[in-house]
Amino acid sequence: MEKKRTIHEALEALSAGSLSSVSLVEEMLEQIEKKDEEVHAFLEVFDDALKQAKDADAKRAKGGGGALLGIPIAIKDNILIKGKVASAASKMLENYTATYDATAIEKLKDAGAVLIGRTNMDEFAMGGSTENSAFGPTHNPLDTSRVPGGSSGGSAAAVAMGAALGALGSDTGGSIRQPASYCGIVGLKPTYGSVSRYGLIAMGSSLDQIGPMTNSVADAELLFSVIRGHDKKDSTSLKETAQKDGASKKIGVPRALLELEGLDSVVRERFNEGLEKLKSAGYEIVDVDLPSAKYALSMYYIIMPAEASTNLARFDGVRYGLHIEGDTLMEDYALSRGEGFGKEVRRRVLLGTYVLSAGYFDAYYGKATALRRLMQKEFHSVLEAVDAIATPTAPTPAFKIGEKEDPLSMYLQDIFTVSANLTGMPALSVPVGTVSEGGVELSVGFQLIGNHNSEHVLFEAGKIVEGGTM
Amino acid sequence: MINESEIEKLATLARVRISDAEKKALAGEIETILEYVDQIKEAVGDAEEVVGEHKNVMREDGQPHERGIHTEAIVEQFPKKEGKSLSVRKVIDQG
Repeated sequence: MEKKRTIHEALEALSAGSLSSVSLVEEMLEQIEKKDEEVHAFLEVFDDALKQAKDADAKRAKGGGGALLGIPIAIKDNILIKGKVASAASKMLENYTATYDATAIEKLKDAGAVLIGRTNMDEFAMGGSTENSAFGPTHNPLDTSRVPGGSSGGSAAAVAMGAALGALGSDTGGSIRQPASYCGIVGLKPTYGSVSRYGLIAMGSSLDQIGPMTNSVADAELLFSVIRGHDKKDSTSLKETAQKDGASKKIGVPRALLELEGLDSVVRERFNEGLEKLKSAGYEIVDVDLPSAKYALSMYYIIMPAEASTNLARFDGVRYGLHIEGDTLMEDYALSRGEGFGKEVRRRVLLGTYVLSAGYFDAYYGKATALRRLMQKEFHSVLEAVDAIATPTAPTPAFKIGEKEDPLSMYLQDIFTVSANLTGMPALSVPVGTVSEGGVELSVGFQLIGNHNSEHVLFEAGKIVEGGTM
Repeated sequence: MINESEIEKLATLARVRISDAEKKALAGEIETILEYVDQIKEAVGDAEEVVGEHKNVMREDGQPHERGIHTEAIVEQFPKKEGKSLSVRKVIDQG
C-alpha cells in the first residue's frame, strides 16, 4: 500500500517552513479532482478550504499556534458545521443548513484545522457500506468495485485516497472502525461520553460517538486529544476523561467468539500475525471468556433501531427538512417521511417501532437492555485482568458493491464491533496487513477494545500492531 | 409471523408512507431480522443497572442567550413561512 503523509509529518514540515497549508490543501484538492469522480468520497468540497488554509498560513507566520494549524480534515455529513449543509446523506435534510457548530467542530476550528469538505455516508449513519446514501455510493479507493465500508465510508475513503490527512466519523455499531478496516486506515471509537455529541445528528443516542479516522495511530491520538473533553451541552458527556493506565501487559482474545461462523480464514491469519507482533513486543496473549458477547449483535439490532426510530421522530417536515403536502396533517407527516427517508431508514424505523410496541417491549427491548448490562459487567471484569481485548475488526475484507442485498448479511459485518458501543468502551481499528483478491491488495483491520478512558493503552498496543504494515 | 397488514400498522404508527410492493418486501426482511435477534430469548441472566457517571444536566433558570439572535437562521429553515412565522396546517375545524 502506498504510504500516505501523516498529520505529524505535515505539522513538522509546516513548522519547519518547508510546506504551507495552501500547498497542502492544493495537493488534497488535486487528489479530489483526480479520484473523486470515481470514488465519490465527498458530498461537498468546501469552496472556502483554500481561504482557511491561507488564514492558517498567515496565523503561523505571525507565530500563532494550534494543534492542527493548517491541517486539512474531512467531516462526515452528520456533524454540524455552521453555515454549511448537513444532510446526513438523506433527502430529508438535503437542503438543511446547520445553524451552529458541533462541539467537535468548534474544537477543530480552535485548533486551526482546515475543514476541507463533508463526506458521504450511509443515510443517517444506517449501514455498513455507504451504499445507503441518498446521493449514490462511495467506492473503496483500494478497489473501486468494492465498498469502502460504512457508515463513515466517505471519511475513510477521503483519508485513504489522500484527500484529507484526517477525518471525523461517527460510530454507533462500528461505523468508524469497519470502514477504517476496509480502506486500510486507523479509526477510533472513543469511550462513550469522552467526545461531545452536541451537533451530531443522532441515531442511537446511547451508542453514538464521534471519533477520528487517520493514516496512523499517532495521528488518531492527536486528533482525539483535540476533540475530547467535557461539554455541558451534552448531558452524557463525561466529567472525567483522565486516562487510565494498563498495567498487566496482557491482551485477551475471546476465542469462542472467533469460532462463530463467517470469519474469513485470511482475516484470521492476519489477526494472528497481529497477535504475534504484540507477543514479540512483550505482551502476553491470554484467552478470555465473554459469554454474553455472542448475543451482542442481537442486542444491538434491537436497541439501535429502538433509539433510532425515536430519534428520527423529530423529522416531521414541519420546522425544517423535506416537506410534502398531503390532504391532511397525517398525510403531510407520512408523505414527508416516506419520501424523505430511504429504504434502510424506513426499515429501521419500522423495526424500532415494532420492538417498542406494547406487546413486544419486554421480550425485545427489556431483555436486550438487561443482557446489555450483563455484558458490560463481563467486559469490565475481563478488562481488570487484561489491558485490552483483541478481535478482527470485521469478519471479511471489503466486499463488492451490490453484493449484500439482504439486510441481515450486511448487519453480520458488525459482529465484532457492536460490543464496544453497547459497553461504552473505546475501540481502535488498526491495519494489520492485506489480502490479495483478484490482483488487488485489500486491507484487514485489527481491533483493540479497552476499558473506559483507556484510549492511550489502545494507542500503545496499536502502534505495535501498525508497525511494519504500512 | 409478520404480515403486510402488520407492516401497515407499524407504518401508520411511525408516520411513514410505504408502498404496497415495499410492504411485502419489508414483511419478509423484518421477519428474518427478528428471527435472528430472537437468539436473546435463549440467553439467561441479568445484572443490576450500573449507576453510571452520566447525569441529567439542567441549565440555570434565566435567559440562555440574547433574545432573537438565532431567529433568522432558524426561520430560514422553515418549509413554509409568513414573515417570521412558521406556517402550519389548520388543525381545528370550524363549526
